[in-house]
Amino acid sequence: MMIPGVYMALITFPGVIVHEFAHQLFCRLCGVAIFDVKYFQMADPVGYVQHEPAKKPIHQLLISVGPFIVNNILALALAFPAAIPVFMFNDGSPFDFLLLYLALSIAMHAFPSTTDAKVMWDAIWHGKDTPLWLKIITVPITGLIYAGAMGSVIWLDLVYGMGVAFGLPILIIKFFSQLL
Amino acid sequence: MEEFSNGINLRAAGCAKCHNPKYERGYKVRLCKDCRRELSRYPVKREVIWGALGVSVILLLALFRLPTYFRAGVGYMKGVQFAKEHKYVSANKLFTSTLQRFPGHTSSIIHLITAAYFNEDLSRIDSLLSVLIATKANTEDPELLDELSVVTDNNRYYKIQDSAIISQLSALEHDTAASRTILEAYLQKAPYDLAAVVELASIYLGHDNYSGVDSLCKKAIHDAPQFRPPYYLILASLKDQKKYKEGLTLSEELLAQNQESVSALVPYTIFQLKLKKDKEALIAAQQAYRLAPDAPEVLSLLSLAYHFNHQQQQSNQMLTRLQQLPEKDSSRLSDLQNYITDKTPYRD
Repeated sequence: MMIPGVYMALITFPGVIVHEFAHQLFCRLCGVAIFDVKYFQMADPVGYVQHEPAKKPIHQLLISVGPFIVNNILALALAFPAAIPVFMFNDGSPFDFLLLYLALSIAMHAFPSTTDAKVMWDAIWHGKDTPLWLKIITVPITGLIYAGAMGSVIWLDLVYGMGVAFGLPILIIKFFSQLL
Repeated sequence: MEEFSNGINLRAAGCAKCHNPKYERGYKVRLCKDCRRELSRYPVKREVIWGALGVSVILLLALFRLPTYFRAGVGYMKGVQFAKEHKYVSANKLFTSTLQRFPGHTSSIIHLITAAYFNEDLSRIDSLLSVLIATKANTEDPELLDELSVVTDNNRYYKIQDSAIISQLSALEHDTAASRTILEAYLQKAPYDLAAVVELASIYLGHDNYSGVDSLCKKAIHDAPQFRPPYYLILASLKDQKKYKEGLTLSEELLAQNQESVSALVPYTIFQLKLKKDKEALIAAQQAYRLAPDAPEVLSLLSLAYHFNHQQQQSNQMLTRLQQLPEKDSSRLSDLQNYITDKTPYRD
């Protein structure tokens, strides 16, 4: 069944909002001027943050991968208390399912978009003052973002979201049970 | 992206927002310091702030419950790990605690039934099986179903299948000769009834018929390797026959089923002591003591193991503890004192 991306985004709109908010947050932290923000819209792109080109290449990297950091942390924090009763003890309440929905939506939109990747690539790879180490780490990050974008055609974003929201909390519990 | 609704004009000669000619150098977009700072703090929409507040409240509530769930999750996983390592006393504690928090959790009930079986807590098995039925627990996990079938298959061996034989035996409670005759005849017809095998082997042991005990119990162990009572009878028989090496091997098999079985650690320690493996015996006795610190037979064995390891002070402490127990077994005490003072030799 094919669901157009915009409808998928509508179902998982909290994730889109958090994604754009993460870009905005990193712009603020890096002192980069923002011209316009759209947290959600029923069009392509479903959300955006228009900002000035960052002066420092590392700031551009942080702004681009900001959603990956913020969405993953927030998704895990929301999923963790709900995944344990639901997936380990089959004892989930509606509240737990609400948490898991939010966590899944947010984790699904953790990957930066191809536009984010393009902006980052242009600023870092073609930037005059970019240090070599930053250029080197930008290559796999950009590759991963494009791979994620291509994978979304086969629901890789959903699989990733499920992994973070449903699988990772259980793996963390298993890890701590070995450790403690 | 040259002009924006908020009055930003990227073509402006000065600051793109306020047209101040003193814009910051080194940026692609001309902005003065104050405007850049203001624009980097682009206002978040009110709806988004309300949404974020809602999520924060949900997150706080979720985090409030997190420690309880975290402990429950870690406890359950540790229980599963202990069960895999055949440490059923530890597993029992953790699954009991999990069930207090999640009473209908099928996996915990089944794991706890297994732990109760290997801890030989038969009444607990029955009560847990009733809980399993009452909660209408349903599992399609083949591993759990296999685990449950091991217990239900072996648990039926604890009761003689023919109720007529049970009533005859209860009527002849003190007449072992008559009981033996009935059981021998019954086992001709029903050799598969391992409860009757155990009953008869127990009578044979009482009459020092060791070959009878050995052949009956070996057959029972062959037929149902995880049915534990025949092991104890054959271990008692081997001890009486002074076949310590054989006894040690068999008690190791029993311990492999449940590494925390005090009933298995006791004969294991005895055989180690008899074979003069005193260090190993002390380790096993200490393990048994950690599991059952008030069991007279464990205190007695630990005292003896300390004695043979030349730790007389600790040996005396255990002896004192044994003397302080409310239910004193005077013969056990005097035997132990005789072994420690070498009045009676413990080893051949």
